[in-house]
Amino acid sequence: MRRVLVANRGEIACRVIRGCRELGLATIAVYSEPDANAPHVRLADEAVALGSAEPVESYLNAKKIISAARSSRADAIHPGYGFLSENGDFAAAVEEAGLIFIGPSAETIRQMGDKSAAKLLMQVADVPVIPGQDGIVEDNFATVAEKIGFPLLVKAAAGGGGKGMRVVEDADGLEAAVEAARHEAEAAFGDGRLLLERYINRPRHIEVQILADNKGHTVHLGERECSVQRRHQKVIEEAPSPALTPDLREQMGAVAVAAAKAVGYRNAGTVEFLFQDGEFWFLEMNTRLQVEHGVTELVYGVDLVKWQLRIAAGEPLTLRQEDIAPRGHAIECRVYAEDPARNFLPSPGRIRRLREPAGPGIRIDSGIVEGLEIGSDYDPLLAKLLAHDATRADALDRMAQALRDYVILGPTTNIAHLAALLRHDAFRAGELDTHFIETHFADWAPRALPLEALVTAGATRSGSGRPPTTAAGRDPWSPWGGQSGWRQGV
Amino acid sequence: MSQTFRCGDSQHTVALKLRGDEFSGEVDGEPVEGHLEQFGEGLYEIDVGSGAVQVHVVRDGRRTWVHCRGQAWELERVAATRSGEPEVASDQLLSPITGKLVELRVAAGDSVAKGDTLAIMEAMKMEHRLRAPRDGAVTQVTATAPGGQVRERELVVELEAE
Repeated sequence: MRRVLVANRGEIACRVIRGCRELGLATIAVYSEPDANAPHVRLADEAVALGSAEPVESYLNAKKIISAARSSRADAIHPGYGFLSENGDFAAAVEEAGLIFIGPSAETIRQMGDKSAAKLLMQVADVPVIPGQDGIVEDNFATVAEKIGFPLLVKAAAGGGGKGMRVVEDADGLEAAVEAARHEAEAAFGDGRLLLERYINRPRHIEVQILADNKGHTVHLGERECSVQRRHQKVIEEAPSPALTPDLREQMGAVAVAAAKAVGYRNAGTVEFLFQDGEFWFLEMNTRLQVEHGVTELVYGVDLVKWQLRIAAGEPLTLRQEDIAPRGHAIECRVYAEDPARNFLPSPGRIRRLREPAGPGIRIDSGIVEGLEIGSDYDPLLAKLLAHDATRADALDRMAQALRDYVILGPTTNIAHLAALLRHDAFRAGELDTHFIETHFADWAPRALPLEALVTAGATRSGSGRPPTTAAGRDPWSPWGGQSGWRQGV
Repeated sequence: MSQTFRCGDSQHTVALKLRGDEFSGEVDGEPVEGHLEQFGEGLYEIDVGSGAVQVHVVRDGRRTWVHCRGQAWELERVAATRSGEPEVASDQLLSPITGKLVELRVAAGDSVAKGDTLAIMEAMKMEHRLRAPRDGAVTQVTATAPGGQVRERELVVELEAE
């Protein structure tokens, strides 16, 4: 393995490219038309154009990506997350083309990708699962729903990331929820099949990172707490979870390793659980690198991307479970181009200014640069900000400071909202569940514009250029009258 | 001489005089004075009497972006009015986002019931449904064909006035 094509965009493509470079591997980026100048394209050694913005013409187009790998003489493909990363047919096609797929086998991806089949497999492996209908619900939704009881969850069999998922409070809402979930699932995955299951009302989302090599040596790297979500998408993640005791950690880790072994798992993967009152249930397995892998890397001192590459190259996993121990606490905030005050509506636009925080224990996995146009074609994730420190309280303080220092002008971002989440007493106390945002922040509004901001805006001229220190005109002190220099209201 | 900025739903009027690094004037009719110094391209330190803070500013035409005390705002320079932002009539349904018009389910002349989905928009993989706020008749729809782009606050469907 010498040349790796990274079949993704944004921050994760940059992250993977850096990992490749550290191991001396050549990198090839792929890009859609609007991404021609994106950071991942500049960072890679080579780049291949895929086509128009539409994902099916670019990052979701398996044929084009494999042909790009051929033309650029790549010998391996890293899928990142999202897009084709959990598409078994893609993994199979990559291998049929004589290339290495950096991830698990196509068969494993298919087994875990079919959520109902995965649930059955997990039951067989003694992994606790959420009560619900075994298998795809094709019709008679009402009958199945009555049997499971309300509230229940309608979710896409091919799903992930909250797409094609609806909570139904009572029988009246069922039909509309099924229609909406099916529509979204078809649009997102090209597969509208649906599952119904009991809805756990106040769960935490806790997931366990695993690593496995080609010989079946499998270890877990502890858990991540990912309960703070909006619209079923994670916003803040941390490791370790404030809810787990060492005993529970060991239990969940062992279950995750058993789940991985049940499907002959290879490479990096994540077993997601719902957790409530000391009980936990298998939710799904993500057969890829997670967005939030960084908190595990900080706390366990491992590089998951480099392990992915090494395992794909056939190297043995040299980590031993007994040597793996967490150190300190890490937290990640996902910075999105969206407006939390307007129901998290996406907010595209040009990045007019970017100043990133820095300092001890701060890490930024970013996909943006100043001047970049954020379009509306893809996910609104701009960057991930991570903070690591000795204790949870220290890590939260470090993160709060970093968020204050993070300047992104142009698109509206959720940075101020993230800071507010971190300040909340319940968050500080580690009292989290997946409804945290809707429970505590339903009416959140950004702070009013401070006087300093207004005055500065009113005192600077168009173009943001020169200091307001030189004035001209009849009154030597008046800024209004001059031909040159600073003018008001231009 | 003053400038009026709209920021979200609020509007502010700023009138300033600068003498070197000192400024004085009025913000929303209240007197203000202090110290303002530029440190770099679009980066200022300002003290209005409650301690010095850094402010980032970028301007482009009528739009100004500012970052201060850990938060960013977008301002738009507007002509000063007494009553603030013009009210959007409740019978005009505007796109909440800039994105793709996926589906338009009504045409001019159609009757709709409260809660009906009138149009579906999509941006950044998220779907947004425009629903009828009340019963009524459609007088006008966007000229954008499904598959095309609509801009934030662009008219998508108009209902007959009540």
